Amino acid sequence: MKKLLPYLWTVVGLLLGFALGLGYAWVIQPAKFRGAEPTSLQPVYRGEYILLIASAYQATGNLEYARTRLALFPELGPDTLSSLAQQVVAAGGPQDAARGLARLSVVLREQTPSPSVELALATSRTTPTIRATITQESTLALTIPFLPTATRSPTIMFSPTTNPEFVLISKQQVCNPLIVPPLIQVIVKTADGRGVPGVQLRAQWEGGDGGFVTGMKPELSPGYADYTIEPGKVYQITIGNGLTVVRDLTAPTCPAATPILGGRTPVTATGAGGPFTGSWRLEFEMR
Amino acid sequence: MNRFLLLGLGTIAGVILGAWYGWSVSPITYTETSPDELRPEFRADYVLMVAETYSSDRDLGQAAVKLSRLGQDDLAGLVRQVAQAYEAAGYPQEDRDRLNALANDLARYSTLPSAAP
Repeated sequence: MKKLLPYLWTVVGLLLGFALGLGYAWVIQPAKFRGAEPTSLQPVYRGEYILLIASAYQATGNLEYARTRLALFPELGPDTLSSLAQQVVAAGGPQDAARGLARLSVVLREQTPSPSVELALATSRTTPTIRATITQESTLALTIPFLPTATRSPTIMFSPTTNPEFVLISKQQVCNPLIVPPLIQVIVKTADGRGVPGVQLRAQWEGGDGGFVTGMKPELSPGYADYTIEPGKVYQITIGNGLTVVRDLTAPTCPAATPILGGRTPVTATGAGGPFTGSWRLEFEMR
Repeated sequence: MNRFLLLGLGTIAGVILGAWYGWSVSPITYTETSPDELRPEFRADYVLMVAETYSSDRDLGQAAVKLSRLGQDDLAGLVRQVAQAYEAAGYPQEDRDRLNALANDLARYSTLPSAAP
């Protein structure tokens, strides 16, 4: 024991000195602040920064810059971006940013290896496999900032490339009992059949309206969007700059469902086997 | 005497270790910061993003509001400064063009005659 005593004094000295050194380095003379990273911003500024990345991408289409900028936020995967786009649209945030987020979500998803999802649009709401692909990142909430508008444009300005024409090429009822609640499904494609993300749509009915945008469910199609409708209400869908309007859409009543899914009759809102409320599917071509 | 020497030596070594740990291994981190505290390269990129967005939406007011987050009064000067830095660093011409366009518009906007008091 006597032999160990000198070492004990050394250990005591080390501990005491370590505490003093740490106090000096953390309190008295902390490491020089070389500036903050975007990830350390307050939530509201962080949200603003992310929306700025999306707006800049929407403005320039420069994917390389967008990827580099998004790399600062490792939690921002395609699902999260899609979710954020929905939040921005739902909160009436900047449209350019919402479009940019939706486009980025689609582009990044195409470049990210993921389990392939073979999914018919008709079963989008009820197929369990699609839910399995949604990772926990999609639950991230963003504080969406709304900048005070110093100068408000009386009309939205469109450049020729952002003012395309949308032509309704197909409008059909969808009688699929698996789609619950009923939807207005919209698919926007280019002439060569590619889905177009980031197209703004507006649903209006007596006493209300709401916005939605294509590209929120890129696992179905980049040009896909849907809006939940209520039976008995008459809806009007406006796409893009408002020149193309589809009127008088009411949720159709479909005849009794035939047994599917291995012989079992699916349970509908009106009970198993009875008539049920259907949906609409609209297809637009962007020219 | 010997034990005081050992205690002293241990303390000196401990101070050195503690300071090294506090400065290098686990330095103080800053959270809940604001854009004016961003590192210079992120500030510059922030300005570029504002210029990129402005090149599309032409909303000078929004651009000015966003730039004001960086805590500098002379917004046109700030953008011009970034444009010069980008030019020196050899960034693409279109980035510099966007920055210069924003700087020019901000300068024009800020020199408009104000209403008489």
